[in-house]
Amino acid sequence: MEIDAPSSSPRKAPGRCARSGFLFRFKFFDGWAAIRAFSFLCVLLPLLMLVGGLFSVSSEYWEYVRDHLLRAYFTETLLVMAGAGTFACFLGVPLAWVLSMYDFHGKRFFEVLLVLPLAIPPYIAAYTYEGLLGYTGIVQSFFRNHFDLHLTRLTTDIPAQVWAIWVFGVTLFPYVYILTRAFLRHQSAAIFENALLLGGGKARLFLRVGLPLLWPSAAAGVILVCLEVLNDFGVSSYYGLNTFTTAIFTTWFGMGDVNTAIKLALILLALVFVVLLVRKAAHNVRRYHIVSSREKRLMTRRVDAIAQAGIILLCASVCLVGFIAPILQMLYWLRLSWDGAFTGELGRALLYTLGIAGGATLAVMIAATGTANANRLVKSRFATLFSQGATLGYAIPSAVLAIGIISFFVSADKFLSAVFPFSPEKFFSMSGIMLFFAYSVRFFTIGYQTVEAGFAKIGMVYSEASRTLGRDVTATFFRVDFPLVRYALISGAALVFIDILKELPLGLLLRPFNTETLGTMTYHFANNEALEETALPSLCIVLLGAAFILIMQIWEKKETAHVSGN
Amino acid sequence: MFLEIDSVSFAYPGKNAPWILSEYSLSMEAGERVGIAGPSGRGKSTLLRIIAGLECPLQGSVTLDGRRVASRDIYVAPEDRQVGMVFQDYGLFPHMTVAQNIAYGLFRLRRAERRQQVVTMLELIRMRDLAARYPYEISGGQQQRVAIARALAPNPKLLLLDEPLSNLDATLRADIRAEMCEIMESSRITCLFVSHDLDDLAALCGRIETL
Repeated sequence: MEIDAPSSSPRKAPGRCARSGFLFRFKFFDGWAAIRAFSFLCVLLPLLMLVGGLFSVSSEYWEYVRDHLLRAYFTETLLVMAGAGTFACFLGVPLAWVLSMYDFHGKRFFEVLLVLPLAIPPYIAAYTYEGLLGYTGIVQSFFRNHFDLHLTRLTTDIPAQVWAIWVFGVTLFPYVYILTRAFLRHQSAAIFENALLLGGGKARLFLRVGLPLLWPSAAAGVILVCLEVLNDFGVSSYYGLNTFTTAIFTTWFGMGDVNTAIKLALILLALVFVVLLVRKAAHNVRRYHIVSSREKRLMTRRVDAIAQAGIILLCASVCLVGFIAPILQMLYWLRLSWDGAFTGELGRALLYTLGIAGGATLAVMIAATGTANANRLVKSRFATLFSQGATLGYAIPSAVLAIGIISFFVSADKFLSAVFPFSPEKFFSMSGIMLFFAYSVRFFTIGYQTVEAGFAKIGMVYSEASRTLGRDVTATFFRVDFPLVRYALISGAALVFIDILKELPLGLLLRPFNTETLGTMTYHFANNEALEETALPSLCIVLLGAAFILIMQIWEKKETAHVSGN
Repeated sequence: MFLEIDSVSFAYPGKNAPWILSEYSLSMEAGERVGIAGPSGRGKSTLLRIIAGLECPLQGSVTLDGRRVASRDIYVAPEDRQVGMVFQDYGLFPHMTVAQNIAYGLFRLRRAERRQQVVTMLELIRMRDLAARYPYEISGGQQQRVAIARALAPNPKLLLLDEPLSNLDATLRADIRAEMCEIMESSRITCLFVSHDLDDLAALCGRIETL
C-alpha cells in the first residue's frame, strides 16, 4: 500500500535560528576542526606576507622591468603555457579515447606505461632531450655516421620555446590523459552505441559525440598542465626563456632585489588566478549528463589489424618520447659517468630528499585527513572557506610561495630573537623547516583531494552507524573510516611524495646551506654542463617516482574492490 | 512520555531551502512500536536522524527518557544518546565480520560479557554459523538481520528503523517481517519505524502516524 505524494509544494524555510549561536557552533569545534583551521592558516600566512610586499617602496630596477621586460615575460610565459597545454591536449585526448573505446594487443601494458611520463620532471626531460638531439647525441651521430646527414639545425634553428613546449607536452600529457580516461570510463555505452547505429563511422563518433562530452575533463587536465608550466623554473632556465619564474629568480639572486621579485610574484599569482577562473568557467559551462537510469558501462571494441597497428604505433611513439627515450639516455649517461657516480654527496642528497619528502608527505596527509574529516562532519560556510583556502597551495607557483615563506620565517626569526635573546640565530631561515613547510603547503591540495575523494566513495553511512553505536568521532575515524579509506590515503601519500621528489624551485630557493636535494643536485650538474653527471640523481628521482606511480595504480584497484566489498 | 518530539522543524543549509520538517510533534510511550508513514521526501528519514542526533533541528526540541537531547541550545551527540538505528542500506562495516559488526557497539563491556552478548544476538537472528562471514558474503535478508542485531546489541533505549525492508524483494519481505516481529517482541524494545509502505508498518507496529 503506497501513499500518494502531497500536492502542496514545500514551504520555504525562514532564517536559521537554533544553529546560529556562537556557543552552539563552538560545540562542533573539536580536534578535527582545529587541524583544518591550522592548515588554512599555514596556506594563508605566506600569501599575506606577499600582499604586504605589494606596498613596499619600488626600486629603480622595478621601473626598468616594468618599462622594458614585463611585456616579454608575459609573451613568453603565455606562449609556452598555451603551446604546452595544446600539445598535451593533442596527445592526451586521442590516447584516452582509443584506450577507452578499443581493445588491442598490449593495451594493459600501454595503460601502465602511458602514466609513467609523470615520473619524469620536465627539467630532467629537457636535459635528456639535449643529450639525445644535441650534436654529440645519438640521433645526430647516427644520421651523421650512417647517412652523412648533418642535422645541426635541429638544435640551432628550432626556437627554444618550441623545445620547451615539446618537453612539457611529452611529460605532462598524462594529466589530460588520466582525467579524460576517468571520465570516459564512467560513460554510458548507450550513447556511443546509439551514435554508431545512427551511422557516420568512428571519426564522426569521436568528433560529434566524444569531444563535446569529454572536453570539460580534457580542459581540467590542460589547466593542470598550464599550472605546472607557470610553476616551472628548470625547463625555462635551461632553455633561457624569459618567463616570470626565471625573472623572479634573476631578480632575487642576480639583482638582490626582493621587492621587485615580490611584485613579479604577485603578477604571476594574478596570472594563476586567471587560469583558475578559466577552470571555473570551464567547469560551470553546460555539461552533459546521462539521462537514463539504466546505464551500461562503456565496453571496448576489437578493431581490425590495420587500425590496431595504428593504435599500437601511436601509443608506442608517445611512450617512447615521454618515458623510454629519456630513461635510455639517462642509462647511457650513467654508463659514461659510472666510475665517479656513487659519491657521498649523492648519498647525502638521497637521504635528505627521502627524509624531507617522507616527513612532508606525512605532515600533508595528517593535515589533509584532518581537514577532509572535519569538512565531512560539519558542513558549513566556514568549512567550505577553509577547504577552498587550504587548497590554494598547489595553484601558487613555487617561486611565489617561496618568497612568502621566506618573508614569514625571517619575521619569525626576528620575533624569536627579540623574545628569546639566547635562541639560535636565524633558527628558522637557516634550517630545513622552511623547505619542509613549503612542501607541505604546496602539496597539501593533492593530499586533500585524494582523501576527500576517498571519503566521498564511502559516504557517511558507516560513520553514522558507528556513532549511533556509541563511538565518538575520533574512535569512529580510527576504527571505521580509516580502514575504509586507507588505500586512498596511501595513493594520496604516493602522489604527494612523487611531486615533492620532482619539485625543483622550492628546493633551489629554500634548502639550507650546504644541503642538496636530488633535484637541486641534478640542476647544478646540468647548469655546469656536466649532463652525464645528472644521470644518477635523475634516475633516482624517476625510478622512485615510477615505483610510486605503479604502487598507486595497484592500490587504486584495491581500493575500488575494498569499498565495494569484493 | 518516553520520547517527546515537540514542534521540530528542519531544513538543510542553503538560501531559500524548503522545510523538510515543519513544527512536527510526536510522543511515544516506553515499549511502544510506532510506525511513521508518508511518501518520499516528507522528512521521515530526517526525523529519525534528528532523534539519533545525526542532524540538529532548527526549531523545537527532542526529549528522550526524560532528558532533553536536542533543542535551541542543547545538542547531545549521537554516541551519548543510547539510540540504536538500522539504516536503509544497513551500513554494515564491510571490513568487519558479522560477529565483529555486532560486537562493535559493545566496547564498554568486558571481553567475556561482550562475547556472550554477541552469541545471544547471533542466536536471536539465527545466524550463529555465519558469524565469521563478511557482509558481502551473506544475502540481503541476512544483512538486514545483522543490522538489527548490531543495533540491539548495546541495549539501546530506543531503536530507529529507516525503511528496513525497502531493499528486499517481495518474497523475502514477508518472511523478514515475521522474523522482525519476533525479534522486536523478544527484545521488548521501544521502536520507531519509518516506511512508505503501510503494509510493512501495519505488520510491525502497534500505532501508525503519518507525516
